[in-house]
Amino acid sequence: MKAMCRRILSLLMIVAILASFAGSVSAMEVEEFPQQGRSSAYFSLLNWDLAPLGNGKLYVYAKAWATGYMTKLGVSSVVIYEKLPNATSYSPVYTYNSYTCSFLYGTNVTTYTFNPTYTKAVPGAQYYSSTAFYAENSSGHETIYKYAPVITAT
Amino acid sequence: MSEQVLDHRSAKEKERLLGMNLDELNALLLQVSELPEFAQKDAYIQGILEVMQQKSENPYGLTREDILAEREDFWESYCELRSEAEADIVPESPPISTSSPEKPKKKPMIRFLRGIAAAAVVAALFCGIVGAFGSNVLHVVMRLGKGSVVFAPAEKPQGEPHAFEDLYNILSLYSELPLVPKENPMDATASSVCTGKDIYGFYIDATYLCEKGTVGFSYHFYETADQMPRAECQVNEGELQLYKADGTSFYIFQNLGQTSIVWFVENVSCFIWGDFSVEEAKQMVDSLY
Repeated sequence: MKAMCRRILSLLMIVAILASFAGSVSAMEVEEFPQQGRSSAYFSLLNWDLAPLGNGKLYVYAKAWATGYMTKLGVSSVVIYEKLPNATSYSPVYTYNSYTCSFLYGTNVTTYTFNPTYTKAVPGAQYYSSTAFYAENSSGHETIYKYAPVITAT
Repeated sequence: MSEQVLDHRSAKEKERLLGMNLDELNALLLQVSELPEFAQKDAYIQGILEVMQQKSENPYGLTREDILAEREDFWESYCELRSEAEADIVPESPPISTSSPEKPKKKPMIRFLRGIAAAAVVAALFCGIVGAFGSNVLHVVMRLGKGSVVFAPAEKPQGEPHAFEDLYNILSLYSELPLVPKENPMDATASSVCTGKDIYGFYIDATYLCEKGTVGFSYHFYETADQMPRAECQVNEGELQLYKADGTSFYIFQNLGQTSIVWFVENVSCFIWGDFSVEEAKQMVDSLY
């Protein structure tokens, strides 16, 4: 009887170990997959980032993949927010929009990359960005907002 | 020399180069010299120049010395342009020729005459390309970086044809990984291919058109796998499925009426999307291997 109990216990332990292993594998697979957004008639995939380049420079990155050729594809604005080392809150310090920048969009394209360098960052200050992706075709247009998490300028 | 400079390419590629005529080789040379860096780019350019020399039927009455001088002039100007444009990239400095030692400086008059001859050759080749081929041959428009446009010859390379040949020809310069499907169930045809650089690495985007609409391909070659930007796929709720092929995980999902495939292999993120079904997506995935 004891032997039978031991066997059942061993079997249960093996099953438990296998189940936890399978769980961790599926968790890894889910982590690999990019974040899922709501479905869109205009956008297929979005990439965005704000990265320190050193010497007070920040790399602003926004790339959009559209569902097909768009008459206009890119960003309508990218706002950079700054918090200086002694400050308590963030405030917008620069905006890329149609008044300040001439290469926000591509025309008649399926993908577009907007990647300027912001050169007036203060080393030690913190920054994040808000990106408004924009796509337009003969059926209409759509804007999706994305936020790059806080980074520290170097 | 040819074997040496072409050994990074398959024998098929060498065969392809040998199958091209001088005008096509010249177009390819211009195209490759404007591409972003890839492994042994310099050696590949040297290889094209070698084949050009081999195939030269001397239609313009040039001497062998003229052709060699032309080749050296091209290489010098290419190196100058390259060092100006990409000061941070150290060239692999391939030899201009393994057989010829350093030559003494040419006299100014000889250089001048040689320059005129070179200009005549370039003008003749250009006229030949435009006149002889027109828009039938130059069908692939590649937008390289912002604004520069070059044309690739449309003549199919010899050997086994590839379903998405224009994309395959570009990608095979950078990687030997199986990244491009060998099957094209949508019968899509190339519309545009563009390449670019960013701080993460470089990317190749291609758009194909089919009866149902658009099929897009995007490959991002990251310098380091931990340096990817944030990404978000647009997905119909609950319509994400994991599909395995050759031990690789492929994520197939739908966005309204379109289907997308996302996968990662080594340091490359791959994305195919467009107007095709989930079944066609699986067919393309299976044809990778």
